[in-house]
Amino acid sequence: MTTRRYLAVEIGSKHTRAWLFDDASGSFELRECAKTLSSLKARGEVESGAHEAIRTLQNKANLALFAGGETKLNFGDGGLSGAALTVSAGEPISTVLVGVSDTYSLATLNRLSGMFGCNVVLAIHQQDELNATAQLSRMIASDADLFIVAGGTNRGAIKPLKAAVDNIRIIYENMPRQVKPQVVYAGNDSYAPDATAAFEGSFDAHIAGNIQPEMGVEDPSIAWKSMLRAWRQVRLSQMSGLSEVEELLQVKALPSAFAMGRVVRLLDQMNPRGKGVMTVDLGQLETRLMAARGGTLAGLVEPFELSNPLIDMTYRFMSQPLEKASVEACLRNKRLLPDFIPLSIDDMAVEQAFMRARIITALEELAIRNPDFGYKKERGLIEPYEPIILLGEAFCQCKHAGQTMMAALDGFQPHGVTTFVLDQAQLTPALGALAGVEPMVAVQVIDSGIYKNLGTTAAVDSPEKSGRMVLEVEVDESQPERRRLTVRKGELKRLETVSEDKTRLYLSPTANSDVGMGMRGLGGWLAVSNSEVGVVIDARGRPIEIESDADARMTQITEWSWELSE
Amino acid sequence: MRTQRISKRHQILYPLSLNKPGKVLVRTGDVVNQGDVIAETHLPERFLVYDIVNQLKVKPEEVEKYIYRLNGESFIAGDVIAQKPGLFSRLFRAKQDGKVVSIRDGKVVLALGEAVESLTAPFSGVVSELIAGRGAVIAAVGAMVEGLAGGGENACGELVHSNLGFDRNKRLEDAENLAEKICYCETIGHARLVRELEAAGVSGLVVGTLEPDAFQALNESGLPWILLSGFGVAETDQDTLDILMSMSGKQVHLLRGMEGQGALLFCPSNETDSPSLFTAQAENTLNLGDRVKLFGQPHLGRVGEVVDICEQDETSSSGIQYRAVVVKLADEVSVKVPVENLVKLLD
Repeated sequence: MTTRRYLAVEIGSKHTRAWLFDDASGSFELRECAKTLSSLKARGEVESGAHEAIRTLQNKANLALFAGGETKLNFGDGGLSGAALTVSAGEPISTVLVGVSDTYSLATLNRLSGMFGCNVVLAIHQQDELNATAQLSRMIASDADLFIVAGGTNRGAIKPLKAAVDNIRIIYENMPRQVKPQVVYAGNDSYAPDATAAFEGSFDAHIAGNIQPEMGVEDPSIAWKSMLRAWRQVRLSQMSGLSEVEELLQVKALPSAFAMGRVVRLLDQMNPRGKGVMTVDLGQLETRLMAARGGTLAGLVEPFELSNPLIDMTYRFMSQPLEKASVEACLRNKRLLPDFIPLSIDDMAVEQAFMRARIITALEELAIRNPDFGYKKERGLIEPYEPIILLGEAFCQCKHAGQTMMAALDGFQPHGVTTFVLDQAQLTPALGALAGVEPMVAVQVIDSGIYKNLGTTAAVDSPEKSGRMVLEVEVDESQPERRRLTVRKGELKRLETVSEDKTRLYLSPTANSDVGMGMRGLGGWLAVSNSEVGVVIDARGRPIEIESDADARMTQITEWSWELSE
Repeated sequence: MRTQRISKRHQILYPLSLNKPGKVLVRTGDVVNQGDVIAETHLPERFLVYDIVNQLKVKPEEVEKYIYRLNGESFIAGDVIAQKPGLFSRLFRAKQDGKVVSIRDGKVVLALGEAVESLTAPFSGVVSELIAGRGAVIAAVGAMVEGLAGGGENACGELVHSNLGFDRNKRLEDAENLAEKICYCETIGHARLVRELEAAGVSGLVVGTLEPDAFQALNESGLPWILLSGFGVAETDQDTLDILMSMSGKQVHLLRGMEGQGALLFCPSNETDSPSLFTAQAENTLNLGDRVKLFGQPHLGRVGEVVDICEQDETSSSGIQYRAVVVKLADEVSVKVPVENLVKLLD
């Protein structure tokens, strides 16, 4: 049988990465990966960076990926069977949302646009006080790259949509622009043919089905294809060399976040425990968060601005005695030099605290857009997600796996039992993109154990006062003697998993404590695989109670970190 | 890697580009003076959506016969756009010159008036390149200091230095000397200083370091500014200070960063010949002997020379592995830092 090989390329703001997967061993595995500096920043184009990444990969894998110089890739017999391309670089797409109503269509559009890295510069609906002239003026002033229109149920009234589309058409036809804006229509089906006609079948108009076909029914996935086409058109116009990279790989570019979403949806479908799956990517300039549960995908791409709440939250998680102004100065300097490596203990403490703050901010934002997603500011991540996949250099930079897990634990504040895994090779977007080419690549590569298992956490939710016992744990390591320990409210305890096989723990909560077994007071067995950190019993409560006094807080956070890192 | 140009004499190529396509009014080789229009675009001043059905009280199917203008047709102020004749005639006249841009579903949309967006040369120079339909690149020779960050619009004025001292009335002691000038300050430590400088009427600020509190005030003020060394506590290096001193009392330009360049302070000279091409430095690679500025405490803003680029990765006290570079600082002390924490200085 001939070996099948797939190439994936990811163009990021800092790095361009390339991965080669093959099934030489009988099932697909990661054969080699390469990382080079992105050429976007240095040279204003993405093509040379992609070439360099593939060249590096070719040398490392000792395989001829290029055919005939570097103008094309070696597809076909003995060469590549397929390729995928994802892009995470690029500024957020300036977007106008136009809905029929604030409560229904705009809320849905916010959820949809959030997954595609859109920066909503204007959101208007047809039930507001604005007259047609005022709406038009605002839309013109927004100078947006993308307009997304939705609203109305199928066979419902079309008048408001007509007004919205007419305004966008006037802007499209009359406002001089280097690149025409893209328009996505995902409203009432009855008006879709007229919407197509309004733009005279232009390639810049992308007509989807209705994302709210009936009252109370919402399915943003109906508009994904149209959104992908519009996203691609915008990126092609913004990024020099992107069309050449597409031509080289013979594939259309996908947004990285969307590709990550495919992986979590796939894992969600495969998840035997009925829990959701989540991934967070703390990128250099933005945070990508994708969560799938029960077949529903919620996602967010959020560029992080150094807002006061984000700075305050970072300060709240500081483990070193730095003034708030010093923390802010450190964060602002990092914006000036995004590649900055935190060398000192103080800088590292800021970095670690900032990771927590970024996760919390992204979760809060996603929960605002998707109330059903299962996160509450006061209670943490209340719905079950397992595993939670961590991506991004910030996570990989940590010296100890315990530091990474600690940051994730404080950021997500999960309830019940969950597992954190680290995507060290940063290949989740690549797998998602390849899933559209050859689904077995993603499935088999994930099964090959590509994610590093950081550890499992069991959170104890209890109304008990600090210091009172909330849980007893019995550890079965296939030894004659079983270890027993008690956990008190406020404690964070780590149990190393030393066994090659699965370690089994019996969790026995007190009557009013909940460890995610279905109800308060109910215990049960927990089988965990060997991992970097082990099992972490988190009885700190939700939200985590952090000391208000600065010195006490630093001691508290340092002790927690030590517990997981020693 | 990030670079920062600090040069006594450098040819700057400053791209000026309209936000929307328009007409470029200069040609390559043209000498332009400060304030000359480089390119302009003509846009409708405003749009007006007029609902014929509801305003003229006509039946939707009869709208067409009451509209006196065709789609795309121009009109002048006072022209009748639509009219319902009869005993109680109703009509809609244009209040400004304009064009009909849409007639649909009983509504007529007019583009009214004309707004001209012009792009002017922020300093005198020579047009070295045209940006098709958008603008041009202006070349000029002079001293320049590039910032790591900046904000606000372009500004120009005489460069003055201020130590931001206060008098007995707790007002800036040199407030009277700052109006309409570009002011250099070593550091701005708090928001109040920004407000005092704004009250003194400065037209722009060049700042060594900023405290976060002052940064927020600066952004809110709308004053043009550039930041040379970063946030926190640091001294401005001697090379930069020397150039700033040489600019003192002269007319300087505070320019927004364009297309990947940082915001910069530019002091044109009267020289017409440009510096030799062969002195151009490789910008993206670090070599022995390169001048660099350090980031991160305790070395923030300090300048030194690269004396060694280590082959082996180093491990920091925080546990991170990095590619190290040995930098010899001005006081002969050598420090080992990650290449990522350096800004390469170009002259």
